[in-house]
Amino acid sequence: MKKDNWKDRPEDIEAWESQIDSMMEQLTVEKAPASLSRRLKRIPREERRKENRWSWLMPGQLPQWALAPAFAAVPLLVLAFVLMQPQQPSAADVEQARQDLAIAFAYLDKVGYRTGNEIQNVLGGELRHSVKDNLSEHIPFTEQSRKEETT
Amino acid sequence: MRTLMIRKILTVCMTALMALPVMAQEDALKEYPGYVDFGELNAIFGEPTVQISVGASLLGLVSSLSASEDPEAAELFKRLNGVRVNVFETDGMADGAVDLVKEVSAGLGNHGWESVVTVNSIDEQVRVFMMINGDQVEGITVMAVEETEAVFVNVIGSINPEELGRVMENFDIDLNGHGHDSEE
Repeated sequence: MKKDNWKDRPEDIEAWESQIDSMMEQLTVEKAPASLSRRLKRIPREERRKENRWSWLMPGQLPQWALAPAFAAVPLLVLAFVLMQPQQPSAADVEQARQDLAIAFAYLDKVGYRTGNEIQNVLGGELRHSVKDNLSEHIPFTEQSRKEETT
Repeated sequence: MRTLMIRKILTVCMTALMALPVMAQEDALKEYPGYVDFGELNAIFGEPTVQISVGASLLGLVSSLSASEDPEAAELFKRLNGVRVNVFETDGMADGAVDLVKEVSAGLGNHGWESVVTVNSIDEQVRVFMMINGDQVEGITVMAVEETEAVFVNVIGSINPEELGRVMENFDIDLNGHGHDSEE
């Protein structure tokens, strides 16, 4: 009931308003602490710096000269990745490797045979066998050459 | 100026990336004690007529594929890490050839290789070296330089000489196809 009553009396409302106004006038502006002010002032500067630090990642922000190398690097990286992958040799590669190994061993044998001939030239046939018998314990291809010679 | 620098950096990166697999393979072989650096062979003898380089991965595959038809060869290949052959056709003893053989031989001697065969004549230089660790051969190196031909062979890996001899007997290869004959 009381609430309804004060609405009905305009003089009371005015009194309330004037009282509130006088109280507001008495209020003083509280000063923020200096440290808080400094921190607040720093915020725009820090935000600007953060934006600059990562702006190069945005394609729109990149200069023209930086775009070309950036795009050129992509196929290069793909190529490098492909090249770094361990490649499985094909059947032809394996067959080629077998032939290469056979040739390699043939050259080893050839050198052994020649070395045997050289020993024979220097020492003569009889001594050659005794020398080569000892050698063949360590070098198998001299043994093979000796067999060829005897056959 | 900046663009030029970026281009240079990109060129260097590209070259390095392209060379990576080759370097990696060669470096992998270099790690083995049986590997031998023959130096600049091409500078002395020119282009090789036969150049063979079989790495561990191919040797492994050859080994597994040979297992049924030649178990002994398969076992040998399994323990090899690499086989390198360089053959050069020469017209007379190449300048610097003898010095190269002597230089490489001295280096091998310093690195624990045992000299097994040496032929030292005017028209022929032969060196056979072995890297022996305990009773295990870890590498064989052959250098044979004469007036018509220079042969450099490097077998890398765990080698049983007897086994190698038996396997070699089974290989019947005619080197005529490569311009050489073992029955010279």
